[in-house]
Amino acid sequence: MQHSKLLYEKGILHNKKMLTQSQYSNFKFVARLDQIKTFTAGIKALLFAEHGAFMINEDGFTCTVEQGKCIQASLFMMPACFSEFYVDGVLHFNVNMNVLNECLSIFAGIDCTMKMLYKGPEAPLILVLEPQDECEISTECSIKTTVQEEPMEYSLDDNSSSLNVIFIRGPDLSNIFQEFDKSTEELEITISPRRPHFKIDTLGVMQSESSIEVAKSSDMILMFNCRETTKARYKSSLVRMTQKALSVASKVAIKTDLSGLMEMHFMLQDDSQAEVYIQFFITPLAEMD
Amino acid sequence: MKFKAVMDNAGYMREFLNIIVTLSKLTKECVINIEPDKIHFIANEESGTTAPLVWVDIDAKLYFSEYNIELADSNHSKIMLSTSPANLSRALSSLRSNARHCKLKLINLQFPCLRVEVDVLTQNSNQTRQTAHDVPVTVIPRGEWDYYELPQKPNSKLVLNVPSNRLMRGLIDKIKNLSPTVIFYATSAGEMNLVAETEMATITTRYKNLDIREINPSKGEKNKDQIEASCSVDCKKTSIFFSALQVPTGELSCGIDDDRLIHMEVNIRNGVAIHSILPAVCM
Repeated sequence: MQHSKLLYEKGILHNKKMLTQSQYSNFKFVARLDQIKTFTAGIKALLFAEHGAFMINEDGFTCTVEQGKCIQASLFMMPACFSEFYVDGVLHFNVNMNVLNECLSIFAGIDCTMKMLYKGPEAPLILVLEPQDECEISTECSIKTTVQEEPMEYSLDDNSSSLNVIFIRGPDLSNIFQEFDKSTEELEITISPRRPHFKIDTLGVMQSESSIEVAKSSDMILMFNCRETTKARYKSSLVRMTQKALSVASKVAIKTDLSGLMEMHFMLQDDSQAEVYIQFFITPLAEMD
Repeated sequence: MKFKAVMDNAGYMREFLNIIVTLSKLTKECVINIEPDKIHFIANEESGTTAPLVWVDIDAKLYFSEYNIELADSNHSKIMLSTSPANLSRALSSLRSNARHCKLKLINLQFPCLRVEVDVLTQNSNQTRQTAHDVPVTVIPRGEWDYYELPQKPNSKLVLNVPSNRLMRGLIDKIKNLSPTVIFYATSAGEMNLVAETEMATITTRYKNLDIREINPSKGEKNKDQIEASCSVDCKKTSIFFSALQVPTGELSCGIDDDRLIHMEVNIRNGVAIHSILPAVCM
């Protein structure tokens, strides 16, 4: 580290475990972002869980959080998103999401460049942040990492005949979600080849109901791929957890099949044209009849 | 005992209002020291709260085109009042909109009051309207002055000028959520580090190439090449000071005294400054 080591020698810092020396070659992971806005927005969308599981390999960077066995969210970034990306093998480690978020927003909205460094198991994750218009200030955060079991793997069968995929414009879906009754407990999502092509029903505590239908010819639907009707219910509190991701997404993909497991992809707009997206898996409620 | 002062510069009037609003965010009751050439405001909340000790120096000649003070007798060198800065800021709030001039006057209705008269230019016509507020004050008797002594500006070991406190304010605000204390560590080479260390994370922010304003090395350190100073302070207290500041701040100077205190000074302009003392805390 650039300045932490000196501070440790002066007795200002005490926790030696949080320091790493600056030999570049020893790092298992080095990445550099020229602006952290998109990354920070992505991390903020995953703040509903305490720990984030980082998985880094040649294909890119993934951070996954889950809550119970009901919802899982991951942020994906391709190596092309980074101006520098080096990884040695496959790395797994966990980081406290709140601490990470506070560190990322330490310059309070001013866009920074960031360097991420990691040396391997038991070493901290190091972030070096430098505001873009102030070269005299820099912050180093070293965040404790832990090793925990890997997150659950959810997937939809791509070859299933019942796999339905629709693409919707992000801001439009965001408007629909905002119009829902706040007290709603359950949502029922229907995707069908005939009318109503895409329908969301809400069911409230007082048996209050509402429904929204979107025809496949609507401007907000970018792609509609459906062969069989699928219908499933979800807890609205889980669906609401996608709100932060939805608010920054330009495009949303919704995938589901007869099992009812819903996969949502939120594409984030990045200036660099590189692909950044957040993926959610939401499990359905069991049929009650 | 008489006091009367008139302001008629729009910029100064706005600044004066901002200073009072800053004080109202820090304390319920503040002390006003009116001296023949200076006005001081002292905000010192009773112990037990986290608000820091803050005081303001104002050069009377600069802000006030007319400034008359008549003391009770030769025993009294100043007038000492205490009042609620929230009330005073409400009385002054019309300074925000096109005020022509503002008069402050100490009067005695059934109890002592500071009368605030503001002439405001109406937007549509050229006529002025006058507002007057009487803000109740308490006159602090001579015998109790010792309790409200103006804090002395400390002779810090190392004083650095920090530009753009906008960053500092956000920084302290974020560190506050992670760690209860923050260490200021600076060297005479113009480097300052803000360090927060917890079990979960270590965060160090470094400012480089800062101007050194003052160095007062201790006896043992006089021959050293590099003088260092460090002090750990309460993060919440520091954050309260920064978030209370309502004045546009060009320059912040930060004085560090080893394990004793940190002295912040915001120079609004020559002769007008806000000071704060943050006491050291043990880790």
